Amino acid sequence: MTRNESFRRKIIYIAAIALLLIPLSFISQPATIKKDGGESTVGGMLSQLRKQHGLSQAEISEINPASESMKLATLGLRPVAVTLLWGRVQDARKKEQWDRLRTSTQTLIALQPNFIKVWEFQAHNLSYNISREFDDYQYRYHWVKEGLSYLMQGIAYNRKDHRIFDQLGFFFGLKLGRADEKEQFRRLFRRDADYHNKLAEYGIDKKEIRSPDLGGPDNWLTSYQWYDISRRNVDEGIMALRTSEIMFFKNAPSQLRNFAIDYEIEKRPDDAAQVAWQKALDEWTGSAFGLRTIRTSANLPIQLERLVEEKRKLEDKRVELDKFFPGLRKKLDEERLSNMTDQMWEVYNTPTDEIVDPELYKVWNLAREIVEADRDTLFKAAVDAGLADGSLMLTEQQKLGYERLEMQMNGIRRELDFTSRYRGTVNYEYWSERATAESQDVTIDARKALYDARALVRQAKIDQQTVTKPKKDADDQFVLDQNGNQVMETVVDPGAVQKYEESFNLWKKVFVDFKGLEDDVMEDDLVAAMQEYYSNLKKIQVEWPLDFPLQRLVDRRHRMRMEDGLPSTESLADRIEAQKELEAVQKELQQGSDQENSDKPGVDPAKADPAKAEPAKAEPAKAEPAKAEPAKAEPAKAEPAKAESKNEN
Amino acid sequence: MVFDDSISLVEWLSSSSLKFIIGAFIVAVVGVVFSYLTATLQYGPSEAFYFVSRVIFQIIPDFVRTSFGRIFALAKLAVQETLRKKIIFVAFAIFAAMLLGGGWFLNANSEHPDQVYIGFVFFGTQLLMGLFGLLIATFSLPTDIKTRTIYTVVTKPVRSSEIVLGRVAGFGFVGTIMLFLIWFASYLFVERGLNHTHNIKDVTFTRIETKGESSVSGGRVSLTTEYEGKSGLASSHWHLIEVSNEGLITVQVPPEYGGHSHDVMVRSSKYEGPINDRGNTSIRASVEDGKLIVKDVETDEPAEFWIGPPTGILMARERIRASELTFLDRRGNEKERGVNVGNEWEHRSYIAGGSSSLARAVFTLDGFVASKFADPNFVQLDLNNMSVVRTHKGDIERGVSGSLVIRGVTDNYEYRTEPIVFEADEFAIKTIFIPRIQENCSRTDLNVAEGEFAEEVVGSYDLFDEIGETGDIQVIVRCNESGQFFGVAMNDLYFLTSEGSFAWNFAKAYFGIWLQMMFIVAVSVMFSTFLSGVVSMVAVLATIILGCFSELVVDLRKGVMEGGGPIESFYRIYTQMNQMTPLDEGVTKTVIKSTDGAFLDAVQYLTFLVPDFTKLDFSEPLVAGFNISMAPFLIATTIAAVFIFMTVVIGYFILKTREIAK
Amino acid sequence: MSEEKSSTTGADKMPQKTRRFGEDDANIVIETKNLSKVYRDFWGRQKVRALKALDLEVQKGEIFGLLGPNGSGKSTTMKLLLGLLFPSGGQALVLGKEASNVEKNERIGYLPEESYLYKFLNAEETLDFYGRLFDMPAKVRRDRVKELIEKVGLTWARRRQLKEYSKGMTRRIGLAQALINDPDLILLDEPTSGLDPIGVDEMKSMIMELKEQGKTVVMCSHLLTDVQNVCDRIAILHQGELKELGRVDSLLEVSDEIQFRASGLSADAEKEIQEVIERHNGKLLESGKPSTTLQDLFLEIVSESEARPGRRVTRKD
Repeated sequence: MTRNESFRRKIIYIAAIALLLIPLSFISQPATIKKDGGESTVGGMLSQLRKQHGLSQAEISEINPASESMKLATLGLRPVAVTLLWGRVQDARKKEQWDRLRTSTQTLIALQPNFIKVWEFQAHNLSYNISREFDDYQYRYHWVKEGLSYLMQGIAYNRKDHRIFDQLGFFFGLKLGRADEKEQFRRLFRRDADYHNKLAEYGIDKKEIRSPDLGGPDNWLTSYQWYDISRRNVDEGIMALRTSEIMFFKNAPSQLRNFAIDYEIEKRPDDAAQVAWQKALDEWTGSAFGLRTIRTSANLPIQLERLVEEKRKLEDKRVELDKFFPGLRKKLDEERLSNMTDQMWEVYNTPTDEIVDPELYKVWNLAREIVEADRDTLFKAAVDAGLADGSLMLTEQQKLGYERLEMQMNGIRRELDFTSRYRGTVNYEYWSERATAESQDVTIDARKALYDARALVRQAKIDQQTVTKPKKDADDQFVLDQNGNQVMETVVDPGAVQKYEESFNLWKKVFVDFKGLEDDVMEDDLVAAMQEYYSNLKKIQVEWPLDFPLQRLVDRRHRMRMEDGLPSTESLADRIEAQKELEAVQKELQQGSDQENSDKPGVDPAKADPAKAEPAKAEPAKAEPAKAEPAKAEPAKAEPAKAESKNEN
Repeated sequence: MVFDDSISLVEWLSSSSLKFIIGAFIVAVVGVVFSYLTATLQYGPSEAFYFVSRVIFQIIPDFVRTSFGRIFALAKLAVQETLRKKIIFVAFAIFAAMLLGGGWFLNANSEHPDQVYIGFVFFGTQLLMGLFGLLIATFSLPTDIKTRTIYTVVTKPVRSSEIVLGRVAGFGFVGTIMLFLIWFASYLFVERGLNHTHNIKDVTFTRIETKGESSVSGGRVSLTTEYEGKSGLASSHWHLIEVSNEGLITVQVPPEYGGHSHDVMVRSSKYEGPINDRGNTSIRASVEDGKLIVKDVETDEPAEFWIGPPTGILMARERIRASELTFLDRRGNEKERGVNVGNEWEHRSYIAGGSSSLARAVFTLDGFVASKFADPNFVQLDLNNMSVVRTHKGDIERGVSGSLVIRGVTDNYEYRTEPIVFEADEFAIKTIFIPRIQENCSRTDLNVAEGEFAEEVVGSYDLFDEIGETGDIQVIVRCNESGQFFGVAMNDLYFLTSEGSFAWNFAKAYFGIWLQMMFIVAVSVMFSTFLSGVVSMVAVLATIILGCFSELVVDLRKGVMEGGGPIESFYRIYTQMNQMTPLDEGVTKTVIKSTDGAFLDAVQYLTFLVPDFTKLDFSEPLVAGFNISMAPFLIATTIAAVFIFMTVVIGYFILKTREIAK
Repeated sequence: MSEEKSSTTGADKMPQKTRRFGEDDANIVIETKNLSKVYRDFWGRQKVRALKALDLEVQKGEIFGLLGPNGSGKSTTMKLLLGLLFPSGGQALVLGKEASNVEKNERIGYLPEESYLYKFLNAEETLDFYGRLFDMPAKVRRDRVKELIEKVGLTWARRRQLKEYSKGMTRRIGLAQALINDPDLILLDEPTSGLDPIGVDEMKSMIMELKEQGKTVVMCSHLLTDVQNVCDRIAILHQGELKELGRVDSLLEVSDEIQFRASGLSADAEKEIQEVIERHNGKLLESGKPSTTLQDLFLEIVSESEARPGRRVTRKD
């Protein structure tokens, strides 16, 4: 009977399904969580696997009911909806409908919460493109914050991704710190109490980011905090690192440096600035970055700070290697250096920036090739040749030792190569030296003097004045004579010019100690200062001093055709002549006393005390400064672009 | 704001009624021919001719004898049907859910929270009313016909016009109740959502250190401000309160939760109202050790003070608008458009600033009469959303400075007021008060003999009686800072005459939705006369879409908007060419272009059959806070009325020529 | 019961007056001239020939029956007369006017097959609604509604919505709505179908009542017994063709048969009668005790039980 048969078949199917359900339920049983959040049952195989690989949605992002319902509501047409929304954002921007734009970006993240690029792009769009549209800087600041809060929303949705924190660090640092309106932005951020509370919710320590001297939280310190959170997450393994290690770990330390730079622009450099530079130095060269083992692209662990040590290790190995063939290296050196002529030696020794004529330059190159030839490869070539033609003999056992040494040296050499290359990428050398220099007392004093000079210019006290005013003792109390009235003293208050000179002298000391800093970014700071000094000198009709401490700097820029209106030695040549004649005459007058004259290399003119030197002949300064930079009230503008590329490549 | 409400009813009628009559005529002819053809299919040519002519001759008697009693009965039936079938409650439940759900997505911290609220509620209602009209109207007649309950009605002396009109009236009535309820609920939702006040009593005021810069927010304050304080928190935002050296208090618009500020209200025995009001002559505020003291300066009597409800939102501004906008370029010769600074959206065009540049934006306003103004002594001029483009940083601390001159030309004099300087405030409304008596305004004599010097007299003249004697004036705007640009559009400058009531404006806007809903009901009934429920719903949806996108279709056809018709798009998608690369010449291109052209033409003619929904949509002026003037209102009503009448006639024809018992 | 085929030549009893079609004649209520209806699909292809060239006349004041099996075209005719369908050929005049003309509806009433009424209205609202359709002034309408509800005996259920009504009750309210405008011509479509015997009986009595009020009633049905004792004239349709037209009594008359019914006769009296028939060389077809119809028995019992409620001893024979 077909009816019974089909009935029977139905029963069989149902039974089979029921049977299959049992194993299925075991596999897919969800993990149950006790009230207090602890795991009560581990759940079936699937949920264990999910936990293990961190795949469950709850792992990677917070579950947002609105976004889930929206994804459902698009009935599978999510990509279409998303494309429309991106179009709408663009259209709203074109039609300057900012509210519509904001709501569209919000709906976008509801549809694509776990796609990191959406967060990054739209946050950038809000903070950069939209904020630029506004004329009033307060609205620009508001829209930058809009972009930042947009990103902060992203944290909850991308628990496994550190790039959100990096972006936040980037925005807080560079957008608030380097934009045209950076002064206004930093001021607004400093006083934006509500926003600080909001930051606290996301794990930013409000005390940490406050800089008492600047009167409130600083954007660079906040940026440092974001990068620090990101760094900690990566270190603790919560988040997998998705960018190159070197570029990742350099972020945090550089923010401290930027803080110090901006601090010294806005405030009178004092010990707080010194502490800031000190911290930047420790972070840069310390375990946070310098001493951190960084895996290179070839997965080789290196430490940037260990360059010197690596070289010394290589040298030890080389000495050991020489033991196999005593005297061979020395012989090779002599052979090589023998074809160096005296002229070549002389050209080789002159500093490169002074070699102007191309012929000399060729000679200099030749010399360099000979002197700085790679002694290891020559040595190895000689050894191989020697072994081949039997002139050098190595026992089996020595051969083994030799090859092992050779291999070790190659390893160190590779490490050395990587370390120096990576140091170059992040400008490690320069910034370590710069930070050390800046944290020295002498640099702080130099900057303090420069700051005071500019302050005096603002008060129009260009030249020094002798003034009598009540004497004060060490702890700022008036000194009274026996019958109780104040003791007066005549003292010479330094004017701006004096302060400038004091600062330049200090800078000279700094450049003596830190050779590398001379021809670099600091120059632009100093050039601006020297131009101000020069224009102030003209105000009080004083000649450019012949023994100007940083004349070398001026001449070098002059040689490199960088016209900044400062008198170079050439332009002062006739005044120097007159000065020499004057001195020669004085010398003849005091025939007897052999003036001890520590002769500096020809260039440095004899010291002349600018105050009393009244050159006989009035000689016109050759190049009238092209644009006498009017003494501007507020300090030099943001670090020039060149510095920009240096510290933040 | 792009909504153009400048055309008057008469102008509109003259231009579009001709187009409409032609359209109607075409439809009539097509209708007759089409019905004749279908009739011949059914009954053969002769019978069909007889049949069609009979129908045509019956039109007049039918319409004459249409009785309102019957229409009322059928309408009552329709109302009972919707109420008894609980459709109205389902629709209202959807709206309530949407309203609550809306709060979820609405983030209030936008610059113009009122616009977000109103926009959301308005769009929601439009959607719901359209849906509602669709749902109830399309299913009623087909079910009647399917369950044959229509037999008992048709066998009564009921004309098909009455059946159609009855249903439209019935569902329209139910829709009207529904819309009224929604209007009431949404008005409350908007009103309560935005109403708030802040605490000012225990605010500590601090003296301003650097002039023009607030130490509380770090932002900008007016140069006359002496003290500043942070107001209490309300609906997640606070305002910066500025006390000026003359003792007036202004509340700043916060960029965060912006779009509105508040008046500080004071009450003393002599005066009650906003402290900054011109009427308040004696009550002044001062700050003593951080606390705000408000007292009547003459009688030293302390006055009560509190922060009033939000101002600047939920407004319905009555205004005198510019009827014409022309530009002068850098060298001063007249131009239709200003400079384009590279914005893709050419709604606004720009004038270059600087003392040497003669670039000006010249707004011509007519109907400038004192009677229109609530307070003619101090005329309020608004620069709404004027955009500023800087080519160099300039002084970031302050806005770009500009100035405007009011010029009036009468029969024998040309008046030019002294330039009124202002600081541009982008994406906000800059209010400038212009006193009626304009001191040192220059008057040049026009009727001057040949070769003589026009004698120029500088004195104080009256804005209305002398300068604006003819009722037409010009406002000439310039940008003072060189290297900066001002961007203006026709709607950006207006004189605010009075403050209409927002509730009434809200109601007018909803009337626009009512018209749309009535049209949708009429169309649904018309379609349901010959289509089944679901099919007619789809047909009505198509009509609505055509109505909303008629502009798009026209633009597409005229080539204002790139992109071709369906075949070209398919071809481009298939060959993965983007829109910019031109099709390669040859046969394929001509074929594609012609077929697309024909298709778009057809669709374009279709758009004539459907009212342009954007004309019925008043959401933009409502959200922008402008009073919806009579002209667009009447135009919308005529459009809707005519189209509803047309649909009823078509419905009548179809029902009449259709066999009920098929 | 074999159907006895009677000859088609039954002469029509009414005098045949020659008259042109459509000529105004007070007592001709309905007139059709080779009325035909062909159902075609959308493309005009012929599907069903529902009605072929029907010529019909209905006099004023008579009850006219349209009989025929299902699908014989009687409902189509009804719909053509009401204007619900448009004729494929020929013409139909109702009360002198074109069938599809709406004015004629002023004076006609129509009870459809399943009395399609709005389920969400109650009785009063329904009748009030239909009353309004006739533009009746409010007062007249109210009285009419009350009167009709009493007439059809639904006063007890006038507040309840129609969806709670039984089949019989909907029929009755259907009839009430057909009579709302005191029509001259009433068309009933299968009036008695689906009714219990009492219902049928009431319906018949109501139809007879209408006849007394001088109204013309046209009914179509396939329940012959009901039609038989109600209709004056009938037309029998089969596959869209008019097969028979004429007065019920004359048609039913078996021409050469006479039927006697007598009571109180003894057995031999019976025998005697049989002989008389044979003598006159007639043929006795049937004799015996006539049994009452089930319907009569049913009615008798029900009316008795209404008179004396309580258990009734069944007749045990």
